[in-house]
Amino acid sequence: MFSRYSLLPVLIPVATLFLAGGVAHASPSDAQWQAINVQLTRDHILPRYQTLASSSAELANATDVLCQQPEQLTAAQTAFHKTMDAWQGIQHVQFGPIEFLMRNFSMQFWPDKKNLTSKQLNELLSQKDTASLTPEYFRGASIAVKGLPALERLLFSDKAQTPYGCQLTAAIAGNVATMSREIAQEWESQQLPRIDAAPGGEDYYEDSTEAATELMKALVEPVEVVRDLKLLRPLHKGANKAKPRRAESWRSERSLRNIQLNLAALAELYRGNSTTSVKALLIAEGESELANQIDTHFQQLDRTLSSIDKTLYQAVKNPADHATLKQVSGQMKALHSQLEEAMQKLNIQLGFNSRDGD
Amino acid sequence: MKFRATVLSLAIGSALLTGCADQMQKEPAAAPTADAVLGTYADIALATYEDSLTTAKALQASVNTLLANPTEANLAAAKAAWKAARVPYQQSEAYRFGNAIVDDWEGRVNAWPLDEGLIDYVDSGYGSESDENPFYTANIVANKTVKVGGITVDASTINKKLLAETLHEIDDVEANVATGYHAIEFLLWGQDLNGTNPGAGNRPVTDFDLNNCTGGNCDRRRDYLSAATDLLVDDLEEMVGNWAVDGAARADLMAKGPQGGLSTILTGMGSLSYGELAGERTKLGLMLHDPEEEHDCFSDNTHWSHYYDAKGIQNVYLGQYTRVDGSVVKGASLSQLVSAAAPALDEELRAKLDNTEKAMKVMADTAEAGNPFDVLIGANNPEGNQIVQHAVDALTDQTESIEQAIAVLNLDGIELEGSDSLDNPTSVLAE
Repeated sequence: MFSRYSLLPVLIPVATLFLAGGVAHASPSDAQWQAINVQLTRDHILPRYQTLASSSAELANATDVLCQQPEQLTAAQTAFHKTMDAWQGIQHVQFGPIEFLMRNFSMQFWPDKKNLTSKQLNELLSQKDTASLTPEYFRGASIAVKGLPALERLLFSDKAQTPYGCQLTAAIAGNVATMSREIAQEWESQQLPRIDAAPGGEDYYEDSTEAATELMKALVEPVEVVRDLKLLRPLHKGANKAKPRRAESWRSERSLRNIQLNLAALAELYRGNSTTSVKALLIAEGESELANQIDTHFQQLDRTLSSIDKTLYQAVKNPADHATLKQVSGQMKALHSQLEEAMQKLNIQLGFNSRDGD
Repeated sequence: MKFRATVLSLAIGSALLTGCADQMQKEPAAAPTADAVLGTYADIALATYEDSLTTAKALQASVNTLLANPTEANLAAAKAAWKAARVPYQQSEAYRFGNAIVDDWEGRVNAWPLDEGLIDYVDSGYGSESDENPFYTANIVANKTVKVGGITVDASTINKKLLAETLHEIDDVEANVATGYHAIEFLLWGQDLNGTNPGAGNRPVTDFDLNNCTGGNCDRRRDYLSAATDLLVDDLEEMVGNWAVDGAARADLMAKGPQGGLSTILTGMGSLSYGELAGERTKLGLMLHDPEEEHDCFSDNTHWSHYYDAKGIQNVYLGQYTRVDGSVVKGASLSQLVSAAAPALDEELRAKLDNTEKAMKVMADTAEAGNPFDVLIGANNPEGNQIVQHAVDALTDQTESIEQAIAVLNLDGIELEGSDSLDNPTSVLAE
């Protein structure tokens, strides 16, 4: 993600430097973290990036087909949904190859407070320049037109069915597929070896705890980011003042699904597998209650979100649903605090971890 | 929107070591008192806002002349007066972050970016709707009544009250900028329709001509320009008062005590350098390649606005400001204070501030030679992008020394404006 709104605010609390001294339990060992790093990288991150790579390749194919057969719009939209599912399932990871070459912004420039995606897409559509359809063009193009929000605007309107509009759609889908493939490959070839080599301390990471800190940021920070950007901004100041168009992916009517997928991914990151997990580590530190509360919150959030039978676009304007979503927001806030507390117990200093919520 | 990054405490260790080493090598200069430094800082604020007010009044006079007699020459004179008014105002921006009175007020005079379709007619390329802003194309100049969503606006009379109390940030959307320098800029220049090619906005003077009106509703456009300019003068008068000897901003500053006051100066320097100027106003432009991603997007005056922002940061550090009449306000400085604690750090920071000024000057000279900021940030302009990137790098570099100064003076816990476009280790040029 993201744009101006989330040119994220980063706060390194000086206080955390001192908090560590007050923790009574022995911190988890570097070896314990290494086991978690390896498990999460292999079972959580790599498969999710592979899914993103394969689904976006299918999307690129589907848009190519669309340009030959305009009646295939639904198939292309379905392929978009699969790609967006995959992206929402790995959006929380904001370190590693996704950072390189501004891929994070390039995959999804959002929220777009200045309406740049609309403006710049309209310009491309009116110019109809074939030079703007090449991979070379997209390498240097504005982050506002080369990712998933631009694709959504084209595919969920009549624009993708015009000849040039379709070519542009296919070109953007091609760019997304290329980025996704490269990210998946680089995780295998570069980031995985770095994580494997962390215990030696002679490569990219100083130790396993440093590598684990990046994974833990991917667990904790998104709870707050998702709440602020995806929930509170459209909810705004009440059902009668709601701003539904601030919802993510409202055109493809999947705003709530995105949030659920985000939380499901974070829950998986937290629960690990039967032997190795952040949750198990917390329990081993004598924090069973906290560990279970976090787990319960993930379950509750999923249940509550599943109970809403409207799109987020409609729900924010409906008083009853608005109230339910405010509860969800409160639960997410509580979950975020608990995760922060868990990080203190585990002696992980998140560093760039805090956003100003205004 | 506020984004925060704290000053890295990581810097503390190395900075302190540097400080000790320096003291062993050199005789530290005699340090001024913190109170004296804060006094200079407040005096420079007063002088800078006074100059902003004087130049805004000159702008007001030339706008009145333009409206009395809408000729090309009078429009050009009003534009020149606007640009001249930016010189002192931009230097005041170093006071924005850290002084609550300034930060709360700033949105009225210098809010940016704006959805200019709120105010007047726009080109079709601007688009007709925005997910973020229901008032994206409200066009107050053309519409005496605007109904959007649940809100009805009676805009039958365009005056200061309508702009300041109803339209500005209407519907809680920050891009609804109805007042301040940039609203006036849009009215004087109009949209810059040259994309990332050379050329600024080119509003015809007849847009203000009652007898030969272009663009429609010239009477209302004139009212708007007049009200916005008068409002700017009012707002600046208020801020001058805040920094007078008995002013509220000065009192707030002094009430913070020596440590708190010095923190305020450094917070302002660091936040403007990094999150705001390097990030929001510059780096983001390189990422978006959009002609409106420049601070003064209608006038193409961004290079000077950036230059004088950087100058303002230098002013507060050196405790010295050259007024628009050429006289100099000068006194005990933060630089002297840092020098007493860590001479090498002071030298380094002064050198970095100079370096930023040079990078900004290169950008300004390139712009004046026909390649303004929106050309320089264009896609497929690697040379131009590089010139802008140098300014970002210089600002980022000086921020690191500002952070060290905070550590050396033992002013922990300061939050600086951060920027994800900067914090991500990415390179636009590698794209």
